[in-house]
Amino acid sequence: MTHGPLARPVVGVLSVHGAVAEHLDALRRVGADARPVGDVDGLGRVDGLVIPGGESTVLRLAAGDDLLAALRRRVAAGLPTFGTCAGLIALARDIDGGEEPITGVLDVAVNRNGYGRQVASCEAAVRYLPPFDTDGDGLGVFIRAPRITRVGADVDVVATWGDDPVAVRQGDVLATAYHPELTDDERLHRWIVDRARAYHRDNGNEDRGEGRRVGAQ
Amino acid sequence: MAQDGNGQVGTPRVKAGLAQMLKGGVIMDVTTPDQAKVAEEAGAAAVMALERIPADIRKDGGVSRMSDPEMIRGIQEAVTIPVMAKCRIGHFVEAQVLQSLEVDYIDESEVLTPADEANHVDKHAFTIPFVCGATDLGEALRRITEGAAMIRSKGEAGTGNVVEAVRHMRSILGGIRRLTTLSGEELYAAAKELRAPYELVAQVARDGRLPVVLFTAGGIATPADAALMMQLGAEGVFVGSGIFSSGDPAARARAIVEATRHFDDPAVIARVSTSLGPAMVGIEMDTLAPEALLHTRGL
Repeated sequence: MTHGPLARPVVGVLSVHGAVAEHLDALRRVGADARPVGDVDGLGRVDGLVIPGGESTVLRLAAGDDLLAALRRRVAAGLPTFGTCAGLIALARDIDGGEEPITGVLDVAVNRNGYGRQVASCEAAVRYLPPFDTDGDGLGVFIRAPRITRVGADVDVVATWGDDPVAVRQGDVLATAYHPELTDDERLHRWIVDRARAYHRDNGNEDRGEGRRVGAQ
Repeated sequence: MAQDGNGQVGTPRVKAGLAQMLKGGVIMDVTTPDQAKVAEEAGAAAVMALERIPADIRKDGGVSRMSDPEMIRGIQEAVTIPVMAKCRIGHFVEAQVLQSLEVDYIDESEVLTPADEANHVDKHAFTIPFVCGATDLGEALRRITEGAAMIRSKGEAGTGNVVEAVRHMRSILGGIRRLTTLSGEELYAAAKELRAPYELVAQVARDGRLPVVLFTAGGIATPADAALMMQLGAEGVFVGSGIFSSGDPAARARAIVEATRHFDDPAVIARVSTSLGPAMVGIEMDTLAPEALLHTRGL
């Protein structure tokens, strides 16, 4: 199966555990060909990836070495990727307390459950910043959320909650401490679908054996 | 969490949301911090802190109550994954205590001795979310009406026998499938039969699913049991006595995590089921006296 540059881009949702179905629904609402991705072959067939919320310890242990290695390889090679909550932890370069990073592609430090236990989980107003978004306010659903404790020089803050950065972007890697898939705010899912479309246009998908699609309009 | 004071805690979305993050995972009963670490290192999505596993509660008899707060704190300090704990059905003060301890989820559980034969806890009154057991759709909907943010099958805890969990999952999911086939006017009678509010019944009929996450529990002892329940439609698995009353808890815990993730791949289930050592000794249902049954508590 091939996809032209204007076709629905294939966006995978890493399907080890957690809020997979919610992301698939959100991606389909904004026009993606969204698929659960649970193995190396599946990961090779996507033009963009969502790493959903869950427990990062489960992702680390239950994904399997082959899938984790493929994940590191594809994300480091520029696959557009959007992580929420545990997905942020999976992308972060540093995890407070000295845990090994999972992919380490996003130059931030995070403190797992840095906002507290479930009793502190909440819905709160977040503010999106230009240049990512000029349309200001959004709703953040924070569930035992990780706290971003350092933002690297090449990382843009996409959204804040009070003074805290809660959404960040570095190139084609975006991550949030909160759960947009639990709201009807589609802007971040639109972003990953747009980036996946551009990735497909610029790279084809070598893993799919389709060759490059340089210059396709 | 409200770092600048603007967060709204305890909303339905936040309560149900944590269960959504646990989907596809295994929640394991643990009685000590060491067991909690074994569970976490095996890939448990959460642990249930309790003093005695259901198999021992069944063996020892007597009134079974909320665990010692000291023991719950020890487990909270041992792991980073969510920690759940059980209160007795209707015992809202045990639930208040568990909330003050900041457990992540409260299981209002038939495994403990019920404190109220008529009423469950008003779960809307709490910031911490609740999971409740159910044997059929009506029971699940009544618990959701009371504020449960997650449902699990009751099964028959502490038996190592999956038969009741299968019955309950089939009953809940079959009940949902039947609702989706009814005409609008038939939903009123269905709500009456289910002894559940019409609005909730109509919502389930329209969506074809519960408004909260549905896990399975009660008698799951092997990787194949876990995969069976997932293939039947469970969104995740609670394992009570099955792990820490087996021969090799760490290996069995890991195997059940793998089988839950790869529930539709028999080759994986075969691999993880190999050389696991003895499973817990199971109990046949018809050897249990009616008063020994747990799933008939708190309907």
